[in-house]
Amino acid sequence: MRPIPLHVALTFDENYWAPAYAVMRSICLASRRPADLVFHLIHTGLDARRRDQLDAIATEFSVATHHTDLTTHPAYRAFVDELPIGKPFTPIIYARLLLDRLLPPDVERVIYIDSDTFVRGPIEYLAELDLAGKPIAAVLDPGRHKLMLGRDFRQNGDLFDFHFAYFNSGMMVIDRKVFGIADLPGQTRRMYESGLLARLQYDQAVLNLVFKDNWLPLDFRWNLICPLPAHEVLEPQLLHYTGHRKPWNLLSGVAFSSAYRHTMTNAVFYEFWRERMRRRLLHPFARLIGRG
Amino acid sequence: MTSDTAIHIALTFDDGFWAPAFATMRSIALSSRRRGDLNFHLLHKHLSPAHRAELDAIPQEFPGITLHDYPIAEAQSFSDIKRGFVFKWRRLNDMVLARLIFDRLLPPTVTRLIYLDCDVMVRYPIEALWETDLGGRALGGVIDPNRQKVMLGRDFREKRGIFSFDEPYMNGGVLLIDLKRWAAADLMARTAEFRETGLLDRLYYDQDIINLVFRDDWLPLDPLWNLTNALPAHEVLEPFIVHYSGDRKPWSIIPGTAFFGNYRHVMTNEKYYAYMRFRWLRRFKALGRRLIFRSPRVRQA
Repeated sequence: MRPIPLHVALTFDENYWAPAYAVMRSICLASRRPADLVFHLIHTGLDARRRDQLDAIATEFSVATHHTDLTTHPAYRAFVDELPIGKPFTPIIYARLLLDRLLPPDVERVIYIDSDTFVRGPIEYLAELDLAGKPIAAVLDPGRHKLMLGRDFRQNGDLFDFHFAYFNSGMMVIDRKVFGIADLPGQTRRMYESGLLARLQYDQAVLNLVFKDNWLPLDFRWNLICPLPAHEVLEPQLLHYTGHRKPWNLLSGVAFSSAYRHTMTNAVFYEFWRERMRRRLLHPFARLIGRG
Repeated sequence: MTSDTAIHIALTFDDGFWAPAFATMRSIALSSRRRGDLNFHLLHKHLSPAHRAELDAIPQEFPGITLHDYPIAEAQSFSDIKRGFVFKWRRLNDMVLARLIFDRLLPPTVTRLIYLDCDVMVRYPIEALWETDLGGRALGGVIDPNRQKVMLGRDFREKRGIFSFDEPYMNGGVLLIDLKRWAAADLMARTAEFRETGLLDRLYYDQDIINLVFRDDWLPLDPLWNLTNALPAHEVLEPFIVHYSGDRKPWSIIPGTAFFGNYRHVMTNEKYYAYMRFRWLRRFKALGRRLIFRSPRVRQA
């Protein structure tokens, strides 16, 4: 019998090509079934060179990669054209809400992962998990109270209460069928029309409101938020570099910063660093001539 | 004064801690599902009327919560008790004494009590702590991870003979107290005994006294009920009570503690900045006093 494929989805824009590469490579390195991995790379367009760099993972580990270019995807275009674009709701943010419609039809279970993560545990553990009929398995967000309730823990008191079990959406194990039934695009549209969307923090809040009390909590080590060196002894399985400290910075101060660089590979790490430096230096000039 | 379902929580603080006391109370109120049962017993000293009025924001925001005041410096009963305590101990300030005699200051209807330091933030329903079965023990507390230094002192020799390296020792910042057993232990009398035997000057505030008196009579609680010296790395552990026991305090400008962003919003931004101005003003006044009273001209006069 053919083993069940391990579907992993990443959504990112061109600025995150190298972190996406690092996440993919970390998954391949930590998996005992790399040959069963299928990466669904959902992005807002990549040039041929970046695409080739990501596809190099397929050559190194004999995995499959499947690209979805959102700029030409009709369902995605139809969805975002009706919604506001701007911080915090950047175009790529909406992709997560449309995940079930962006994947090939044969995908039943998918593991969605943010690109600022680093996987150290075998991803098949998540792929084989019993979701007990829930649409999602995820990890409770330790910083949830401020995210939910806002300023002075009062601002959004009508939407969330202190005890609301609010997950971090940086890693979600998704049952595609049950996830799809929730009709996230329709719900998001209605939230926008009622003015609710403007009060929410990213799509994470949308997901939490829609899947309220309908998700399976996982051990915090499968999405360890804001990982610091002190966390290394806890043997986290998936590190999520939320906040300002990112492992691709030269002096990051995060957990497993050196392991991350070697997972990204030194060649990609320094290429990505040079690219960011170049962008930063050119940014003021680009703004001056109206292209920033 | 209180119902059978009442949850009694005591805080001891002076005017310098009015805002942290507010934050501690508000964190309890936010995280509790039994707000109507919450009774805060506020044992305070020299609390200004303006700061006392600030604390009333708690029952205004969370109707059903009751505040009980014990202005200990002004209370005759406290002065009487204090007078009976004839000897001097450099660590015996009014706040320490108030904690030792909870049973005498609080009404007899209060038989169980949660004591909290004012540098804590509660993140989990306090009723879960309140309902803990003490199994016949007088107290519930959390073992102090920094206990060896506190118990044994400098070079782990200074306090040899009082505590041993391997014995459990609780942190006094979060306690669940059986007040009848507390009263029966007569901590004032025991403190007087420690003074007679010459032990008292080697003790670390009331925490040492409590640990000596209730040595084999306390229940160790889950460490998440009193996560001391809380740093950002601890956030993922989902602590129930965060205790900012070290030098880093969440009300500082750059605190570097766990959940410092959340703490500011629990204290509320208005009170956070009012407290900052209060501390700065106090520092300026202290500096001014020092400059005036130490200047040669003033001394000559």
